[in-house]
Amino acid sequence: MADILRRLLTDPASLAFASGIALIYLLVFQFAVADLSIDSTARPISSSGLSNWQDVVFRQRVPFQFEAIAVLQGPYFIWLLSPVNIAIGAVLGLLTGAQIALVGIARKCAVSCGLSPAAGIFAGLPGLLAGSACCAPLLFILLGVQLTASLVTLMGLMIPIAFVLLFGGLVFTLRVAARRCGEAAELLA
Amino acid sequence: MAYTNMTRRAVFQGAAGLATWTALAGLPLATTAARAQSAAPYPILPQGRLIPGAPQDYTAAMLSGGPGKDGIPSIDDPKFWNVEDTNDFLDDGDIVFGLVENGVARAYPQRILVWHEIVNDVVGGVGLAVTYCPLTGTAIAFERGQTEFGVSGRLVNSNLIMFDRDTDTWFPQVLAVGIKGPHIGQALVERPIVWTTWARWKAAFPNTEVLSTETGFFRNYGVDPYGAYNAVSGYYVPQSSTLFPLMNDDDRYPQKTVFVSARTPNASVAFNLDSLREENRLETEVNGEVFTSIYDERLDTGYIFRGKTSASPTINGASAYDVSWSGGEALEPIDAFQAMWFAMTAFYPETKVHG
Repeated sequence: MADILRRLLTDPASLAFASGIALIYLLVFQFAVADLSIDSTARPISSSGLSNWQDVVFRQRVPFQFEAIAVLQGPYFIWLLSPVNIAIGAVLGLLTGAQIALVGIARKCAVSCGLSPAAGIFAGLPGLLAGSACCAPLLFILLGVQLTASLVTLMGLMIPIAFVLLFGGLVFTLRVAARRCGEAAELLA
Repeated sequence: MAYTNMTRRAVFQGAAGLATWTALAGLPLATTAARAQSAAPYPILPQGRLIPGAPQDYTAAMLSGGPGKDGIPSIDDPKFWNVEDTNDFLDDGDIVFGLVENGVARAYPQRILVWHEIVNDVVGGVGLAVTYCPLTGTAIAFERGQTEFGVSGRLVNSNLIMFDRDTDTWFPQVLAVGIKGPHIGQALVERPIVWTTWARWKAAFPNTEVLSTETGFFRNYGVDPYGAYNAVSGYYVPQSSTLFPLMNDDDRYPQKTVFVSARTPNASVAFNLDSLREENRLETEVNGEVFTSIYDERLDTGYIFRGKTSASPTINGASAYDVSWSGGEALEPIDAFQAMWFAMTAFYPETKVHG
Protein backbone atom coordinates (compact mmCIF):
# COMPACT_ATOMS: atom_id res chain seq x y z
CA MET A 1 0.00 0.00 0.00
CA ALA A 2 2.90 2.33 0.76
CA ASP A 3 4.04 1.98 -2.82
CA ILE A 4 0.64 3.00 -4.19
CA LEU A 5 0.49 5.96 -1.83
CA ARG A 6 3.97 6.99 -2.96
CA ARG A 7 2.82 6.79 -6.60
CA LEU A 8 -0.17 9.02 -5.78
CA LEU A 9 1.99 11.59 -4.02
CA THR A 10 4.88 11.62 -6.51
CA ASP A 11 3.04 11.32 -9.81
CA PRO A 12 2.39 14.95 -10.84
CA ALA A 13 -0.63 14.02 -12.97
CA SER A 14 -2.31 12.03 -10.16
CA LEU A 15 -1.50 14.72 -7.63
CA ALA A 16 -2.89 17.48 -9.84
CA PHE A 17 -5.99 15.42 -10.53
CA ALA A 18 -6.61 14.76 -6.81
CA SER A 19 -5.98 18.41 -5.96
CA GLY A 20 -8.36 19.56 -8.70
CA ILE A 21 -11.12 17.28 -7.42
CA ALA A 22 -10.45 18.50 -3.86
CA LEU A 23 -10.72 22.13 -4.95
CA ILE A 24 -13.98 21.54 -6.83
CA TYR A 25 -15.39 19.67 -3.82
CA LEU A 26 -14.34 22.51 -1.49
CA LEU A 27 -16.04 25.10 -3.70
CA VAL A 28 -19.28 23.09 -3.92
CA PHE A 29 -19.12 22.49 -0.15
CA GLN A 30 -18.80 26.25 0.46
CA PHE A 31 -21.93 26.81 -1.64
CA ALA A 32 -23.72 23.94 0.11
CA VAL A 33 -23.16 25.33 3.60
CA ALA A 34 -24.18 28.78 2.30
CA ASP A 35 -20.78 30.36 3.01
CA LEU A 36 -20.28 31.16 -0.66
CA SER A 37 -23.05 32.69 -2.70
CA ILE A 38 -23.37 34.40 -6.03
CA ASP A 39 -25.86 37.05 -7.05
CA SER A 40 -26.36 39.73 -9.68
CA THR A 41 -24.77 42.64 -7.78
CA ALA A 42 -21.61 44.15 -9.29
CA ARG A 43 -20.26 45.32 -5.93
CA PRO A 44 -16.66 46.49 -5.45
CA ILE A 45 -14.18 44.15 -3.81
CA SER A 46 -14.06 44.59 -0.05
CA SER A 47 -13.39 42.57 3.06
CA SER A 48 -13.91 42.84 6.78
CA GLY A 49 -13.30 40.69 9.82
CA LEU A 50 -14.45 40.30 13.39
CA SER A 51 -12.22 41.77 16.09
CA ASN A 52 -13.46 39.09 18.51
CA TRP A 53 -12.84 36.25 16.05
CA GLN A 54 -11.36 34.03 18.79
CA ASP A 55 -14.78 33.96 20.51
CA VAL A 56 -16.62 33.03 17.34
CA VAL A 57 -14.36 30.79 15.26
CA PHE A 58 -15.38 27.51 16.95
CA ARG A 59 -19.02 28.47 17.51
CA GLN A 60 -21.31 26.03 15.70
CA ARG A 61 -24.29 27.25 13.65
CA VAL A 62 -25.51 23.67 13.34
CA PRO A 63 -23.58 20.51 14.19
CA PHE A 64 -20.25 20.47 12.29
CA GLN A 65 -20.81 23.86 10.65
CA PHE A 66 -19.11 26.90 12.12
CA GLU A 67 -19.40 30.68 12.20
CA ALA A 68 -17.56 32.88 9.72
CA ILE A 69 -15.01 35.30 11.14
CA ALA A 70 -14.51 37.38 8.01
CA VAL A 71 -16.21 38.22 4.75
CA LEU A 72 -14.80 38.77 1.30
CA GLN A 73 -17.13 40.23 -1.28
CA GLY A 74 -16.78 41.39 -4.83
CA PRO A 75 -18.59 41.48 -8.15
CA TYR A 76 -21.37 38.89 -8.06
CA PHE A 77 -20.15 36.99 -4.99
CA ILE A 78 -20.12 37.05 -1.19
CA TRP A 79 -17.80 34.66 0.62
CA LEU A 80 -18.23 34.18 4.37
CA LEU A 81 -14.90 32.89 5.61
CA SER A 82 -15.05 30.23 8.30
CA PRO A 83 -11.62 28.62 8.75
CA VAL A 84 -13.16 25.50 10.29
CA ASN A 85 -15.70 25.06 7.49
CA ILE A 86 -12.93 25.55 4.94
CA ALA A 87 -10.78 22.95 6.72
CA ILE A 88 -13.68 20.47 6.80
CA GLY A 89 -14.39 21.01 3.10
CA ALA A 90 -10.71 20.68 2.27
CA VAL A 91 -10.35 17.38 4.19
CA LEU A 92 -13.49 15.90 2.60
CA GLY A 93 -12.33 17.17 -0.80
CA LEU A 94 -8.86 15.68 -0.44
CA LEU A 95 -10.32 12.32 0.60
CA THR A 96 -12.62 12.42 -2.44
CA GLY A 97 -9.80 13.49 -4.77
CA ALA A 98 -7.37 10.89 -3.42
CA GLN A 99 -9.91 8.11 -3.78
CA ILE A 100 -10.74 8.99 -7.38
CA ALA A 101 -7.05 9.42 -8.28
CA LEU A 102 -6.29 6.00 -6.76
CA VAL A 103 -8.96 4.45 -8.94
CA GLY A 104 -7.11 5.96 -11.91
CA ILE A 105 -3.81 4.44 -10.76
CA ALA A 106 -5.42 1.02 -10.21
CA ARG A 107 -6.98 1.15 -13.67
CA LYS A 108 -3.59 1.80 -15.20
CA CYS A 109 -2.36 -1.41 -13.54
CA ALA A 110 -5.38 -3.54 -14.42
CA VAL A 111 -8.20 -2.31 -16.66
CA SER A 112 -10.84 -4.51 -14.97
CA CYS A 113 -9.79 -3.65 -11.43
CA GLY A 114 -13.36 -3.60 -10.10
CA LEU A 115 -13.12 0.00 -8.89
CA SER A 116 -15.22 2.94 -10.03
CA PRO A 117 -14.64 6.66 -9.50
CA ALA A 118 -18.39 6.98 -8.89
CA ALA A 119 -17.93 5.40 -5.44
CA GLY A 120 -15.78 8.33 -4.35
CA ILE A 121 -18.29 10.84 -5.66
CA PHE A 122 -21.19 9.13 -3.88
CA ALA A 123 -19.21 8.85 -0.63
CA GLY A 124 -18.60 12.60 -0.70
CA LEU A 125 -22.22 13.46 -1.46
CA PRO A 126 -23.55 13.53 2.16
CA GLY A 127 -21.15 16.36 2.96
CA LEU A 128 -22.70 18.41 0.17
CA LEU A 129 -26.23 17.84 1.49
CA ALA A 130 -25.41 19.09 4.98
CA GLY A 131 -26.25 22.74 4.36
CA SER A 132 -28.64 24.33 6.82
CA ALA A 133 -30.24 27.75 7.02
CA CYS A 134 -31.64 29.24 10.20
CA CYS A 135 -33.95 26.57 11.55
CA ALA A 136 -34.14 23.87 8.88
CA PRO A 137 -31.86 21.93 6.54
CA LEU A 138 -31.52 23.70 3.18
CA LEU A 139 -32.28 20.56 1.20
CA PHE A 140 -35.73 20.26 2.75
CA ILE A 141 -36.46 23.98 2.40
CA LEU A 142 -35.69 23.68 -1.31
CA LEU A 143 -37.73 20.50 -1.73
CA GLY A 144 -40.58 21.72 0.49
CA VAL A 145 -40.74 18.25 2.05
CA GLN A 146 -41.96 17.84 5.62
CA LEU A 147 -39.28 16.92 8.14
CA THR A 148 -39.34 14.44 11.00
CA ALA A 149 -37.18 14.45 14.11
CA SER A 150 -35.09 11.53 12.82
CA LEU A 151 -34.51 13.23 9.46
CA VAL A 152 -33.29 16.39 11.22
CA THR A 153 -30.92 14.26 13.33
CA LEU A 154 -29.68 12.48 10.22
CA MET A 155 -29.08 15.77 8.40
CA GLY A 156 -26.97 16.95 11.34
CA LEU A 157 -24.75 13.89 10.91
CA MET A 158 -24.14 14.26 7.17
CA ILE A 159 -20.61 15.63 7.52
CA PRO A 160 -19.32 12.84 9.82
CA ILE A 161 -21.14 10.31 7.62
CA ALA A 162 -19.32 11.71 4.57
CA PHE A 163 -16.02 11.54 6.42
CA VAL A 164 -16.51 7.91 7.47
CA LEU A 165 -17.64 6.87 3.98
CA LEU A 166 -14.75 8.68 2.30
CA PHE A 167 -12.11 7.47 4.73
CA GLY A 168 -13.41 3.88 4.58
CA GLY A 169 -13.63 4.11 0.80
CA LEU A 170 -10.10 5.44 0.56
CA VAL A 171 -8.69 2.58 2.67
CA PHE A 172 -10.64 0.05 0.60
CA THR A 173 -9.53 1.63 -2.69
CA LEU A 174 -5.93 1.75 -1.49
CA ARG A 175 -5.97 -1.95 -0.63
CA VAL A 176 -7.61 -2.98 -3.92
CA ALA A 177 -5.30 -0.75 -5.94
CA ALA A 178 -2.24 -2.16 -4.11
CA ARG A 179 -3.41 -5.74 -4.76
CA ARG A 180 -4.24 -5.15 -8.43
CA CYS A 181 -1.00 -3.31 -9.13
CA GLY A 182 0.92 -5.98 -7.20
CA GLU A 183 -0.69 -8.73 -9.26
CA ALA A 184 0.03 -6.84 -12.47
CA ALA A 185 3.67 -6.39 -11.47
CA GLU A 186 3.98 -10.14 -10.71
CA LEU A 187 2.48 -11.03 -14.11
CA LEU A 188 4.91 -8.76 -15.89
CA ALA A 189 7.82 -10.25 -13.93
CA MET B 1 -59.62 22.23 28.02
CA ALA B 2 -57.34 25.13 28.82
CA TYR B 3 -54.51 24.55 31.24
CA THR B 4 -54.92 26.74 34.29
CA ASN B 5 -52.10 28.23 36.25
CA MET B 6 -54.01 30.29 38.79
CA THR B 7 -52.21 28.99 41.89
CA ARG B 8 -48.77 29.55 40.45
CA ARG B 9 -49.92 32.83 38.97
CA ALA B 10 -51.21 34.03 42.34
CA VAL B 11 -47.81 33.32 43.89
CA PHE B 12 -45.97 35.29 41.26
CA GLN B 13 -48.47 38.05 40.67
CA GLY B 14 -47.25 40.33 43.46
CA ALA B 15 -43.62 40.05 42.46
CA ALA B 16 -44.43 40.45 38.79
CA GLY B 17 -46.54 43.50 39.51
CA LEU B 18 -43.67 45.00 41.47
CA ALA B 19 -41.30 44.20 38.62
CA THR B 20 -43.59 45.94 36.12
CA TRP B 21 -44.00 48.97 38.38
CA THR B 22 -40.24 49.12 38.93
CA ALA B 23 -39.58 48.94 35.19
CA LEU B 24 -42.11 51.70 34.55
CA ALA B 25 -40.55 53.83 37.25
CA GLY B 26 -37.19 53.40 35.57
CA LEU B 27 -35.65 51.65 38.58
CA PRO B 28 -33.21 48.77 38.04
CA LEU B 29 -34.94 45.40 38.00
CA ALA B 30 -32.03 43.83 39.85
CA THR B 31 -33.34 45.56 42.96
CA THR B 32 -36.68 43.87 42.50
CA ALA B 33 -35.02 40.51 41.96
CA ALA B 34 -33.10 40.91 45.18
CA ARG B 35 -36.31 41.68 47.08
CA ALA B 36 -38.30 38.84 45.60
CA GLN B 37 -36.00 36.03 44.53
CA SER B 38 -38.79 33.99 42.98
CA ALA B 39 -39.73 36.78 40.59
CA ALA B 40 -38.95 36.41 36.91
CA PRO B 41 -36.22 38.73 35.64
CA TYR B 42 -38.80 40.21 33.24
CA PRO B 43 -42.36 41.46 33.64
CA ILE B 44 -45.06 38.80 33.74
CA LEU B 45 -48.61 39.34 32.47
CA PRO B 46 -50.67 39.27 35.70
CA GLN B 47 -53.82 37.87 34.10
CA GLY B 48 -51.92 35.19 32.15
CA ARG B 49 -52.53 34.16 28.56
CA LEU B 50 -54.51 31.35 26.95
CA ILE B 51 -52.65 28.06 26.78
CA PRO B 52 -54.93 25.37 25.34
CA GLY B 53 -52.80 22.39 26.47
CA ALA B 54 -50.61 21.54 29.42
CA PRO B 55 -47.02 22.83 29.15
CA GLN B 56 -45.82 19.22 28.87
CA ASP B 57 -47.89 18.81 25.69
CA TYR B 58 -45.73 21.44 24.02
CA THR B 59 -42.42 20.11 25.31
CA ALA B 60 -43.45 16.66 24.06
CA ALA B 61 -44.13 18.13 20.61
CA MET B 62 -40.82 20.03 20.44
CA LEU B 63 -38.28 18.96 17.88
CA SER B 64 -34.93 20.20 16.73
CA GLY B 65 -34.76 22.34 13.62
CA GLY B 66 -31.08 21.48 13.27
CA PRO B 67 -29.18 24.24 15.11
CA GLY B 68 -28.30 23.80 18.76
CA LYS B 69 -29.01 26.24 21.58
CA ASP B 70 -27.80 29.70 20.45
CA GLY B 71 -26.76 28.14 17.11
CA ILE B 72 -28.96 30.85 15.62
CA PRO B 73 -27.30 33.84 17.27
CA SER B 74 -29.51 36.54 18.72
CA ILE B 75 -28.34 40.12 18.21
CA ASP B 76 -27.33 41.30 21.66
CA ASP B 77 -25.54 44.53 20.80
CA PRO B 78 -27.64 45.98 17.99
CA LYS B 79 -26.37 48.92 15.97
CA PHE B 80 -28.70 51.24 14.07
CA TRP B 81 -28.73 53.27 10.88
CA ASN B 82 -30.57 56.49 10.19
CA VAL B 83 -32.84 56.38 7.15
CA GLU B 84 -30.19 57.96 4.94
CA ASP B 85 -27.58 55.40 6.09
CA THR B 86 -29.55 52.42 4.79
CA ASN B 87 -28.28 53.27 1.28
CA ASP B 88 -29.65 50.62 -1.02
CA PHE B 89 -29.87 47.79 1.53
CA LEU B 90 -33.66 48.12 1.76
CA ASP B 91 -36.08 48.26 -1.15
CA ASP B 92 -39.36 50.06 -0.60
CA GLY B 93 -41.27 46.78 -0.67
CA ASP B 94 -39.02 44.96 1.81
CA ILE B 95 -40.66 43.85 5.05
CA VAL B 96 -39.69 45.58 8.29
CA PHE B 97 -41.04 45.15 11.80
CA GLY B 98 -41.65 48.55 13.34
CA LEU B 99 -42.24 49.76 16.86
CA VAL B 100 -42.30 53.03 18.78
CA GLU B 101 -41.41 53.27 22.47
CA ASN B 102 -41.40 56.61 24.29
CA GLY B 103 -41.13 58.45 20.98
CA VAL B 104 -38.25 56.34 19.62
CA ALA B 105 -39.18 54.59 16.37
CA ARG B 106 -37.20 51.58 15.22
CA ALA B 107 -37.45 49.30 12.22
CA TYR B 108 -36.05 45.77 12.13
CA PRO B 109 -35.58 44.46 8.56
CA GLN B 110 -36.98 40.98 8.02
CA ARG B 111 -33.92 40.13 5.90
CA ILE B 112 -31.71 40.56 8.98
CA LEU B 113 -34.02 38.94 11.49
CA VAL B 114 -34.49 35.85 9.33
CA TRP B 115 -30.87 34.96 10.28
CA HIS B 116 -31.07 35.90 13.97
CA GLU B 117 -34.73 35.67 15.07
CA ILE B 118 -34.18 37.71 18.27
CA VAL B 119 -32.83 41.21 18.91
CA ASN B 120 -32.19 42.05 22.56
CA ASP B 121 -32.70 45.79 22.42
CA VAL B 122 -33.46 48.78 24.62
CA VAL B 123 -35.87 51.21 22.96
CA GLY B 124 -36.84 54.46 24.65
CA GLY B 125 -35.56 53.03 27.93
CA VAL B 126 -37.61 49.82 27.64
CA GLY B 127 -35.77 46.50 27.45
CA LEU B 128 -37.32 44.56 24.59
CA ALA B 129 -36.79 41.24 22.88
CA VAL B 130 -37.84 41.78 19.28
CA THR B 131 -38.55 38.29 17.98
CA TYR B 132 -39.31 36.91 14.54
CA CYS B 133 -40.04 33.36 13.50
CA PRO B 134 -39.67 32.93 9.72
CA LEU B 135 -41.46 29.58 9.65
CA THR B 136 -44.69 30.89 11.23
CA GLY B 137 -44.42 34.44 9.86
CA THR B 138 -44.74 36.03 13.30
CA ALA B 139 -43.01 39.13 14.70
CA ILE B 140 -43.70 39.84 18.37
CA ALA B 141 -41.94 42.15 20.84
CA PHE B 142 -41.68 41.20 24.51
CA GLU B 143 -40.55 43.14 27.55
CA ARG B 144 -37.34 41.45 28.65
CA GLY B 145 -36.45 43.39 31.78
CA GLN B 146 -32.70 43.13 32.08
CA THR B 147 -32.31 39.57 30.88
CA GLU B 148 -31.64 38.45 27.31
CA PHE B 149 -33.51 35.93 25.26
CA GLY B 150 -31.81 33.38 23.01
CA VAL B 151 -32.88 30.93 20.31
CA SER B 152 -33.17 27.36 21.63
CA GLY B 153 -32.92 25.74 18.18
CA ARG B 154 -36.08 23.78 19.02
CA LEU B 155 -39.43 24.30 17.37
CA VAL B 156 -43.01 23.51 18.23
CA ASN B 157 -45.62 23.83 15.47
CA SER B 158 -42.69 25.20 13.39
CA ASN B 159 -42.53 28.13 15.84
CA LEU B 160 -39.39 29.53 17.44
CA ILE B 161 -38.86 28.45 21.05
CA MET B 162 -36.84 31.07 22.90
CA PHE B 163 -35.29 30.90 26.33
CA ASP B 164 -34.28 33.50 28.84
CA ARG B 165 -30.58 33.48 29.67
CA ASP B 166 -31.10 34.06 33.41
CA THR B 167 -33.46 31.23 34.37
CA ASP B 168 -33.51 29.09 31.20
CA THR B 169 -37.30 29.18 30.99
CA TRP B 170 -38.47 28.18 27.49
CA PHE B 171 -41.23 30.10 25.67
CA PRO B 172 -42.72 29.28 22.26
CA GLN B 173 -42.99 32.70 20.63
CA VAL B 174 -46.67 32.46 19.59
CA LEU B 175 -47.79 30.93 22.90
CA ALA B 176 -45.63 33.41 24.88
CA VAL B 177 -46.17 31.27 27.98
CA GLY B 178 -43.39 29.32 29.71
CA ILE B 179 -43.49 25.60 28.88
CA LYS B 180 -40.29 24.53 30.65
CA GLY B 181 -38.15 25.98 33.42
CA PRO B 182 -38.72 27.99 36.59
CA HIS B 183 -41.38 30.26 35.04
CA ILE B 184 -43.47 27.55 33.46
CA GLY B 185 -47.06 28.69 32.90
CA GLN B 186 -46.21 32.38 33.15
CA ALA B 187 -46.97 34.76 30.30
CA LEU B 188 -44.59 37.34 28.87
CA VAL B 189 -45.68 40.95 28.43
CA GLU B 190 -45.95 42.01 24.78
CA ARG B 191 -45.38 45.43 23.25
CA PRO B 192 -46.99 46.67 20.01
CA ILE B 193 -44.98 45.93 16.88
CA VAL B 194 -46.20 45.98 13.30
CA TRP B 195 -45.38 44.03 10.17
CA THR B 196 -45.17 46.49 7.30
CA THR B 197 -43.02 47.56 4.37
CA TRP B 198 -40.01 49.82 4.47
CA ALA B 199 -41.71 52.47 2.28
CA ARG B 200 -44.77 52.63 4.54
CA TRP B 201 -42.75 52.68 7.78
CA LYS B 202 -40.32 55.40 6.73
CA ALA B 203 -43.20 57.52 5.38
CA ALA B 204 -44.98 57.23 8.73
CA PHE B 205 -41.82 57.60 10.85
CA PRO B 206 -39.20 59.51 8.84
CA ASN B 207 -36.92 59.79 11.88
CA THR B 208 -36.91 56.04 12.44
CA GLU B 209 -33.75 54.18 13.28
CA VAL B 210 -33.09 50.96 11.38
CA LEU B 211 -31.34 47.84 12.61
CA SER B 212 -28.03 47.65 10.73
CA THR B 213 -26.18 44.66 9.34
CA GLU B 214 -23.45 45.21 11.92
CA THR B 215 -24.76 42.34 14.03
CA GLY B 216 -21.54 40.83 15.35
CA PHE B 217 -21.92 37.94 12.90
CA PHE B 218 -21.45 37.48 9.18
CA ARG B 219 -24.44 36.43 7.13
CA ASN B 220 -25.51 37.10 3.56
CA TYR B 221 -28.27 39.55 4.48
CA GLY B 222 -29.20 39.96 0.84
CA VAL B 223 -30.62 36.45 0.81
CA ASP B 224 -33.58 34.93 2.62
CA PRO B 225 -33.01 31.17 2.59
CA TYR B 226 -36.74 30.43 2.73
CA GLY B 227 -37.92 32.56 -0.17
CA ALA B 228 -38.95 36.19 -0.50
CA TYR B 229 -41.72 38.55 0.52
CA ASN B 230 -40.89 41.18 -2.09
CA ALA B 231 -42.42 39.55 -4.28
CA VAL B 232 -43.78 36.53 -2.41
CA SER B 233 -42.04 33.29 -3.30
CA GLY B 234 -40.75 30.01 -1.86
CA TYR B 235 -41.86 29.01 1.62
CA TYR B 236 -43.95 32.16 1.98
CA VAL B 237 -46.37 31.38 -0.84
CA PRO B 238 -49.76 30.85 0.85
CA GLN B 239 -50.35 27.48 -0.82
CA SER B 240 -46.92 26.05 0.02
CA SER B 241 -46.58 23.29 2.60
CA THR B 242 -45.22 23.41 6.13
CA LEU B 243 -41.81 21.95 7.04
CA PHE B 244 -42.49 20.38 10.43
CA PRO B 245 -45.36 18.35 11.96
CA LEU B 246 -48.15 20.30 13.69
CA MET B 247 -50.08 19.59 16.89
CA ASN B 248 -53.33 20.49 15.09
CA ASP B 249 -53.87 20.65 11.34
CA ASP B 250 -56.63 22.79 9.84
CA ASP B 251 -57.05 22.99 6.07
CA ARG B 252 -59.83 25.59 5.83
CA TYR B 253 -57.35 28.09 4.34
CA PRO B 254 -54.01 27.75 2.52
CA GLN B 255 -51.39 27.18 5.21
CA LYS B 256 -49.51 30.47 4.86
CA THR B 257 -52.54 32.79 4.53
CA VAL B 258 -51.94 35.82 6.75
CA PHE B 259 -54.29 36.42 9.67
CA VAL B 260 -54.24 39.28 12.18
CA SER B 261 -54.41 37.31 15.40
CA ALA B 262 -54.75 37.78 19.13
CA ARG B 263 -55.21 35.78 22.27
CA THR B 264 -56.52 36.81 25.67
CA PRO B 265 -56.58 34.73 28.88
CA ASN B 266 -59.76 33.04 27.62
CA ALA B 267 -60.00 33.28 23.85
CA SER B 268 -58.14 33.44 20.57
CA VAL B 269 -59.29 35.23 17.43
CA ALA B 270 -57.96 35.59 13.90
CA PHE B 271 -59.01 38.00 11.15
CA ASN B 272 -58.06 37.33 7.53
CA LEU B 273 -55.83 40.27 6.52
CA ASP B 274 -57.15 40.23 2.95
CA SER B 275 -60.73 40.55 4.22
CA LEU B 276 -59.70 43.29 6.63
CA ARG B 277 -58.11 45.25 3.76
CA GLU B 278 -61.42 45.08 1.88
CA GLU B 279 -63.77 45.76 4.78
CA ASN B 280 -61.60 48.07 6.93
CA ARG B 281 -63.41 46.87 10.04
CA LEU B 282 -64.41 43.36 11.14
CA GLU B 283 -66.06 41.97 14.26
CA THR B 284 -66.34 38.51 15.75
CA GLU B 285 -67.69 37.07 18.97
CA VAL B 286 -66.19 34.43 21.25
CA ASN B 287 -68.21 33.14 24.22
CA GLY B 288 -70.24 36.35 24.36
CA GLU B 289 -67.17 38.57 24.08
CA VAL B 290 -66.86 40.72 20.96
CA PHE B 291 -63.57 41.57 19.26
CA THR B 292 -63.19 44.33 16.69
CA SER B 293 -60.36 44.54 14.19
CA ILE B 294 -59.57 47.67 12.20
CA TYR B 295 -57.29 48.13 9.21
CA ASP B 296 -54.42 50.64 9.25
CA GLU B 297 -53.98 51.48 5.57
CA ARG B 298 -50.96 53.63 6.34
CA LEU B 299 -48.97 50.56 7.51
CA ASP B 300 -51.06 47.86 5.77
CA THR B 301 -51.73 46.03 9.00
CA GLY B 302 -54.56 45.35 11.43
CA TYR B 303 -55.22 46.03 15.10
CA ILE B 304 -57.56 44.16 17.42
CA PHE B 305 -59.70 45.67 20.18
CA ARG B 306 -61.83 44.12 22.87
CA GLY B 307 -65.52 45.04 22.55
CA LYS B 308 -67.89 46.56 20.04
CA THR B 309 -68.67 50.21 19.50
CA SER B 310 -70.59 52.50 17.21
CA ALA B 311 -67.68 54.94 17.42
CA SER B 312 -65.46 55.64 14.43
CA PRO B 313 -61.74 54.98 14.70
CA THR B 314 -59.09 57.47 13.60
CA ILE B 315 -55.52 56.29 13.10
CA ASN B 316 -53.45 59.05 14.71
CA GLY B 317 -50.08 57.66 13.81
CA ALA B 318 -47.79 58.61 16.68
CA SER B 319 -47.17 54.87 17.04
CA ALA B 320 -48.74 51.61 16.06
CA TYR B 321 -52.09 51.25 17.80
CA ASP B 322 -52.37 55.02 18.23
CA VAL B 323 -56.09 55.00 17.49
CA SER B 324 -58.73 57.38 18.81
CA TRP B 325 -62.48 56.81 18.72
CA SER B 326 -65.16 59.44 18.13
CA GLY B 327 -68.93 59.34 18.44
CA GLY B 328 -69.13 56.51 20.96
CA GLU B 329 -67.31 54.31 23.40
CA ALA B 330 -63.56 53.86 22.88
CA LEU B 331 -62.31 50.30 22.68
CA GLU B 332 -59.43 48.72 24.58
CA PRO B 333 -56.58 47.51 22.33
CA ILE B 334 -55.22 44.00 22.87
CA ASP B 335 -51.91 42.47 21.78
CA ALA B 336 -52.16 41.39 18.15
CA PHE B 337 -49.76 40.10 15.54
CA GLN B 338 -49.79 38.74 12.00
CA ALA B 339 -49.40 34.99 11.67
CA MET B 340 -49.60 32.31 9.05
CA TRP B 341 -52.91 30.44 9.24
CA PHE B 342 -51.40 27.10 10.26
CA ALA B 343 -49.50 28.66 13.17
CA MET B 344 -52.58 30.09 14.84
CA THR B 345 -54.68 26.95 14.47
CA ALA B 346 -51.83 24.61 15.43
CA PHE B 347 -51.50 26.36 18.80
CA TYR B 348 -55.14 27.39 19.22
CA PRO B 349 -57.45 24.90 17.46
CA GLU B 350 -60.51 26.66 18.94
CA THR B 351 -59.52 30.02 17.43
CA LYS B 352 -62.55 32.04 16.34
CA VAL B 353 -61.82 32.80 12.71
CA HIS B 354 -63.17 35.68 10.65
CA GLY B 355 -62.33 34.60 7.14
